[in-house]
Amino acid sequence: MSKDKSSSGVAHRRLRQLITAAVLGVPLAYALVVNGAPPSAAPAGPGKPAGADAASPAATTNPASPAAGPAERPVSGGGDAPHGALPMQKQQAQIDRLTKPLPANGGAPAGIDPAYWKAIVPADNAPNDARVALGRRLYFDPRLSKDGTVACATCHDVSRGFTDRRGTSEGIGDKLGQRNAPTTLNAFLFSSQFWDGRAATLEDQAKLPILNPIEMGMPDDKAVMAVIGKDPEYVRMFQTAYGRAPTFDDVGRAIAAFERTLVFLDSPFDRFLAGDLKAIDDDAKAGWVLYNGKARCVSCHQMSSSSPIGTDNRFHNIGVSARHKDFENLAKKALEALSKDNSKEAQDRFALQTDLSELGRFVVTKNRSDIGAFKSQQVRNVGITAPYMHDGSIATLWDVLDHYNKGGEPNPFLDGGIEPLALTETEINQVVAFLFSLTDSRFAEENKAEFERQKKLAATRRPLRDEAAANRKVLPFEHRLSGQTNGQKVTP
Amino acid sequence: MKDRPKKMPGIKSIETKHMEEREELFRGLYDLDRRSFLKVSAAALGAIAGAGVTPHSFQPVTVAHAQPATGKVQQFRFAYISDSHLYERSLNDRFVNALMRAVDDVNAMDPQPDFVFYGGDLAQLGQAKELELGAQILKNLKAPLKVMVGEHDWYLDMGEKWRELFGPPTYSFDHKGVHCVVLNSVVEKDFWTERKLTPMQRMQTVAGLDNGVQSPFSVGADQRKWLENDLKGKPADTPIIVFSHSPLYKLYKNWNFWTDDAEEVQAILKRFNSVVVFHGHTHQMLTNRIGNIHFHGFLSTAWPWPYAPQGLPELTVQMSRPDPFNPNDGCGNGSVLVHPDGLVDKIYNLWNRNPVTVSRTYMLSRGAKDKPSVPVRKSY
Amino acid sequence: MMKQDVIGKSALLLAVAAACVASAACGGGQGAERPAANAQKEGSSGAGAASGNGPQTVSTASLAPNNVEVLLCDGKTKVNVPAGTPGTAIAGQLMAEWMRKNPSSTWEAEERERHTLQPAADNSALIGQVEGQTYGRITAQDVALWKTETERVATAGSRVFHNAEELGSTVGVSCDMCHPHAANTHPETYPKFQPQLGRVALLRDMINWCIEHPVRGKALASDDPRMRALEAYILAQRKGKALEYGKH
Repeated sequence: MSKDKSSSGVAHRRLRQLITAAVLGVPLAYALVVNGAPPSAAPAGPGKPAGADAASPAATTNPASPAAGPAERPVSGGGDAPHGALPMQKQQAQIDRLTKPLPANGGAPAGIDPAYWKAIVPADNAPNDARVALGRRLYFDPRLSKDGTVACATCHDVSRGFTDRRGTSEGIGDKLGQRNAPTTLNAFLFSSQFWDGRAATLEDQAKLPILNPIEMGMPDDKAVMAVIGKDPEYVRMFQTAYGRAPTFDDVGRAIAAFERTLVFLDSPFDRFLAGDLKAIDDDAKAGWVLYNGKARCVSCHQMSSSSPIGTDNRFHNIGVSARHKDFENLAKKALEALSKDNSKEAQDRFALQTDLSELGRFVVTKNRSDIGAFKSQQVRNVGITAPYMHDGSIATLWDVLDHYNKGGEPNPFLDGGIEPLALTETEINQVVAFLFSLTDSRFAEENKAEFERQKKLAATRRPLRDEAAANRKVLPFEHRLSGQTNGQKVTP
Repeated sequence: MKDRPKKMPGIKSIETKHMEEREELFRGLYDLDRRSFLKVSAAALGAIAGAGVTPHSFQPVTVAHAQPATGKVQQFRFAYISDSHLYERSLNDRFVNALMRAVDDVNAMDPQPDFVFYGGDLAQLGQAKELELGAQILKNLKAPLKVMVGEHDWYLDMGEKWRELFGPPTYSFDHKGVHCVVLNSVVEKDFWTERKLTPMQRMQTVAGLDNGVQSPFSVGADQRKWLENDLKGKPADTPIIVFSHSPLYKLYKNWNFWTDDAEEVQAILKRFNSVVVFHGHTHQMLTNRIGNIHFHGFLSTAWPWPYAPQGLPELTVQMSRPDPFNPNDGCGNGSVLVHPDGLVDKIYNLWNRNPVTVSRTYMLSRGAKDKPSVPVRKSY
Repeated sequence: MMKQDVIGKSALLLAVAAACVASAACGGGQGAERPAANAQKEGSSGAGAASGNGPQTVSTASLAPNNVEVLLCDGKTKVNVPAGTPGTAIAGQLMAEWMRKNPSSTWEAEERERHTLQPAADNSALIGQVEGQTYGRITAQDVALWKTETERVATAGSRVFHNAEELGSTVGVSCDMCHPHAANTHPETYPKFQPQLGRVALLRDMINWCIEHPVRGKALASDDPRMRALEAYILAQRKGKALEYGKH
């Protein structure tokens, strides 16, 4: 649901809401509902209005993002909740329609292999209705942020493919990070979370943005628990879900339990695999063949019946980070800083705030072989999760194909599996058609709109297109050598 | 730390390996010239891995050295690139790109190595176009180039084009106290005349690693004589480095990982205190020691060989089985740090993997100390 | 070696004879003039196993006087012989000429010389074992036949394995460049889930992946003779290794 409001209009409304909130003493979050109706799950408990730093009307002017040409607002979707999100109440209404209830016997959701499900769900967090409901409440709760404007759902917005359709995400105080928000859809099927895999589980991942200074900005877990503790409904829900008083770890667990209900693997492609030959068009079928063949996508984005999301759960340098200047100097800074503070929180800060972000997995493992390497993202629902790559620097799927077709971006750490593909324009269209067929049918309209939007954009500009490179007329490392001939005599 | 004085340019005192590594690590971290860092870090990571400190950390190297290096050599570093097996680029772009990648890697080294050594098999089928293409690409190296010949370069025209481009295949030179000898160790007894093979048929026979029609490699009586002469009169404490495409020992005859007159060659070298042999041809991490002679294999830029089913030297720590989905896996280039006593740390700069160092200490202790990290996946 | 030559030769002769018999155009489909009846009588005789139409004569003006040019029924191979040469000599010369132009007729011998091949299992223990049933009665000829045929397919596979052109490579790469003697092909570990294919792979799936990517050729159909031969060779080279399907 995209509302096409001018930024000043939104700022004006936001200011009005803040003042209203301050007057009424209502928690800020609940004052931001556009139509003024109280959210269904919220008691009118006492709450503090947010600090003054969120009230600046000029806050919608975003500092320059490293992403290539994203709009100030999300490229599509969202609404006029802070940071362009669809208001929480509306998101929750959509969730009701989109998700299915848990299987009664506590087994795997439909479409997930039961043995594999058992392997990926932690023993201490088996999903049940109480945990899912609690996690859902937390996911949509901006009170978990320092200025009350950011919930998980702000950047992982139900109406925006469970991401935010921005190059990089915007947190409290309108601070921009360095990373693109991955979608929460099917995220439970990854072996690690974040682009650099620094969180081993969903449980771990959920806690970190809450504490990150530019995302949700809570100073520490005690501050979070203070917010939770003041809400008796939360206290009651934690007791029901986990049989104990709320803890920060349980916050992570509950959110993870909710996220494990976000199973969106019912796409036209799945119907095609199941036997409906008309479910996808000929282009998409040809694209599927290319995906497994000439285009080499399957090498890192494999889909199997047990793990259908299209990832090898590994980290590869495909050259996106190499487009950032000084990429090759950054390892030095990382090692300096991390030698002083090697905690997870430090890694989290570095990943998002500083330009060390471009080193990717290296910041976590400090393996030289991981410099500039990022996780193979899922290809499910990729049609509705633009823009692409860890920094959101690639705007459309056509641009993504151009990037791979030319052999990525050569740099000293480029994964050798990335090489020029010599795909024709027709073949690129076919792969793109296939990728769009991977979107869950519940988002069919959104997918179609996105397809049209991206197609239109790609028709006007294809910044990464390089036919000479794609057809191997100029080789990837040739560029780096050119201009370096020094007339050295070749004699022993 | 930040006030650490920079080394005086041009003056290098003889230092222990420990101090040198520490120095390089911190110089890389705090030096104004930042471009140095990545190659230093590569070496450091490799060195640290070899030192037994966890490769994931960047702790300063604190390795106890039972035998600190002293000797006549003014310590230096050289880089190596080897076994590129070039076809014309219109036929095979991958091999060409890989050699370019290697040249780019070496050019990024800071400080630059004293020279770059090319380990042979520049061409795949010894054709003039292939050799010229290779020579062209290598011209992009900033540091001086020294080369040796491989069988793929030789057996189409018996070295005619090679000589034209690169000079005599057998020669020697001195560098900072080390006496370096370069041999053509891929001499094969004539198998082609009686079979009436054309030059290309001869070349293709030799090009097949497992082709049993060809003869085993050798250095040959003439070159052995030349070697004796070249080394005549040199005192036994002269550090010697031998560059040879075939390994100068007998590993696996079926793949010509073999030099037929290895014992005779080793006998000529035996009297010297410090002899290090660098060879190509085997496209893998390979390490051996026979008496006082240390043997190190170069990586290929083009493709990796699996390990031979038998005959693998004890000291060899295998590289992990390469992933076929990454054409650069198991390949790479590298560098060598030559210590004052002429013995070396050999650094394997494996693409998409952490570098691996096979150190002087590891060799001297016959594998007891400083063992490079063990691979997870051996060859099938 | 000689034995192989003889086998190759007789196989060839059978092939040539079959071609001659089968080819309706043997008498002139390739544009040779129809021989005069006399010339035919002169030129032909029973040439051993090459029965049927036999070599045809071609009359051309450029021949030396008293010389005859004899064209083989493949329409390409010819020899120039003095008139009156016995037919067996003509046939022999034609054979030599054909062999010279078709070196791959000794492919099996050559392949065995180049590349060590694992022998097939020895079945001689089965000879003469079972009485009283026709199917169970194994003879020495059976055992010899099984060995020859089996090893021939594996040898054919070795030939394809070592030949970039046969594989259809567009980058001059053959399998032996990464797998000398089929080392590191580990056929005993299939079927297994191959992560980079995203599915369970059989040996032939990996072969095809290699053909498409490192070798940059076109994938072979499962029943392509080259694919069958490649599988035979790779499996043969791994003789004696325990099966461990699913092993990574």
